[in-house]
Amino acid sequence: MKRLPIVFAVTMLFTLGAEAHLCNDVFVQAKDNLVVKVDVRDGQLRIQETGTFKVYLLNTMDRDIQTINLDVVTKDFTAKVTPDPSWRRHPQLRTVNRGGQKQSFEVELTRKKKTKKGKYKISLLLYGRNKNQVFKSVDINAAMANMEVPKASKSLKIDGKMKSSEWKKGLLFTSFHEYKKSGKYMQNFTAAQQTRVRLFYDKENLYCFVDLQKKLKKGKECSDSVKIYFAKDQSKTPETITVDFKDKKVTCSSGSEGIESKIEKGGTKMEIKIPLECLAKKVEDDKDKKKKKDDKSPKTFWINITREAGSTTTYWRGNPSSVKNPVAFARIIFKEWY
Amino acid sequence: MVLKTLLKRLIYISVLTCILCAKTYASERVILIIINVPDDFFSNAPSGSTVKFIHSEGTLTVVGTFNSPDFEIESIKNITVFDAEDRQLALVIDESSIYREFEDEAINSVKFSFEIKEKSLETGPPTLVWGNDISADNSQVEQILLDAGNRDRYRTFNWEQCPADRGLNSQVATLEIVVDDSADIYYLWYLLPMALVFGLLIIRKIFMNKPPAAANRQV
Repeated sequence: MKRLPIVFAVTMLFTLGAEAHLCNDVFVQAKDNLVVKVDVRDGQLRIQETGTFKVYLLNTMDRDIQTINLDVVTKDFTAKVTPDPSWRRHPQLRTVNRGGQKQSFEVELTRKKKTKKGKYKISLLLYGRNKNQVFKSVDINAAMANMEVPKASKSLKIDGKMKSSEWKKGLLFTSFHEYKKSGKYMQNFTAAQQTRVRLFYDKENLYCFVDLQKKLKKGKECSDSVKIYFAKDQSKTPETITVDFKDKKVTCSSGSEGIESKIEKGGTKMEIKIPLECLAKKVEDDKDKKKKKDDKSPKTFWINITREAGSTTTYWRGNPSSVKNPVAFARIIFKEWY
Repeated sequence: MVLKTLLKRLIYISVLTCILCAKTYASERVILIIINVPDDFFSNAPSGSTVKFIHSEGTLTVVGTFNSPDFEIESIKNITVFDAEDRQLALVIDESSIYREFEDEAINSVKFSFEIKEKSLETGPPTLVWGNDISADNSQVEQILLDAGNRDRYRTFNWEQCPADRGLNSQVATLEIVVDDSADIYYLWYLLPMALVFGLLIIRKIFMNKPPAAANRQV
């Protein structure tokens, strides 16, 4: 019995120490694996006296974040930050691996009396228990950034000849990462085997240039495929375009009709034309046939890309927990759609 | 004669201006986030079991691949790294990793290594800089070999954009707010095309509902 308080004290100290250690490491893991989305149209909020926006969070790490808070740094507005009422465990943010969901903070900005008309910048800070514990490298700007897909020129042809003049101005996706273990925890590392994907569009089709960025060794071919996920919005299940370099074919989860592809001689680059209809299917309620007929081709999508080369999977965004969750995707806009 | 002299001076000034503009051409830069290597770092990379490695005291060897979407260099000399104390670090370029997306064009991806003092990392992260105006004394090897016997000396990196203002906390992101007295009605302009169409339909309806002309009544 006498030993019990000592054991209790030692256990508490150990737990506190371990939690502190965990708390420090979680900031390193948060990069890329703490998904942050800011719900502001066109990256700019326009207000008269007050305005509100939401900051969404999704924890795709291999463990929970015990404490996460949001601060708004500004001299020109009064800011009020409130966690969403449905976020019962606030300030804890559970990982999706343990049933965690997307959570949000609501930010209300009130203009101060001395704040005149004009443009102002406010700073958003995600932190742990105190403001010295800032979540490192959580790029909220990247979370808000929209990527514009340029319009395809009429000379663009799917002929297996990867010309710089045709593809160089396409929207580029690269800098893939692997999700690997380092010590105790999982982390993102720049993939040794990189991938490059470029996109163009026109009113009917999406044009892709997929480059495996390697030299093929004859007789040593292994399975190598790139998957491009498209979602109409963040609540929809994405469609998957699979670019299989071993079988030299391209398929779409909603049907492959109309897809054209051509692989270049070296076998590591492919040009693809995908009808927008393949991506826009299941956009509206399937029960409403009239709506489907009237459904116009969309001008924005949410996108993510992965590559599976043998047993190695690399990700453009996210990790195994979030790769198919549109909350972790980036938003692409078809420039000059109208 | 006077005109010729003036013309020569003008040409001279123009050329000088062009040279100055070329020299002030902004190179690109990112901050390197130095991190521990993954557990399989040595199993997947070529090791130099027959090579004698020489490591400097108090330094770490950083190895990684850089291929940011905006990364384009003509030559391996056009890339360099500065530590937090602005000292330029010599890079060793892995020749087998050099990749050009389009043949005979710029290099878009490259693997390299450099030595950095542990103390300098305590001061701040290193910066990677690249561009046509960079001319660094980098060396090149066929493949970068790793010393598996000294695992603790190795690090790798990720990268992030440099903050616009070094005074700002790099973990802080910014959002633009527009204070506008007409903010409440600003977004109503989206309804303008629809309002126009409705207006035209109403006018058309009014004209169609007009009573027939007097001549027709007389008949």
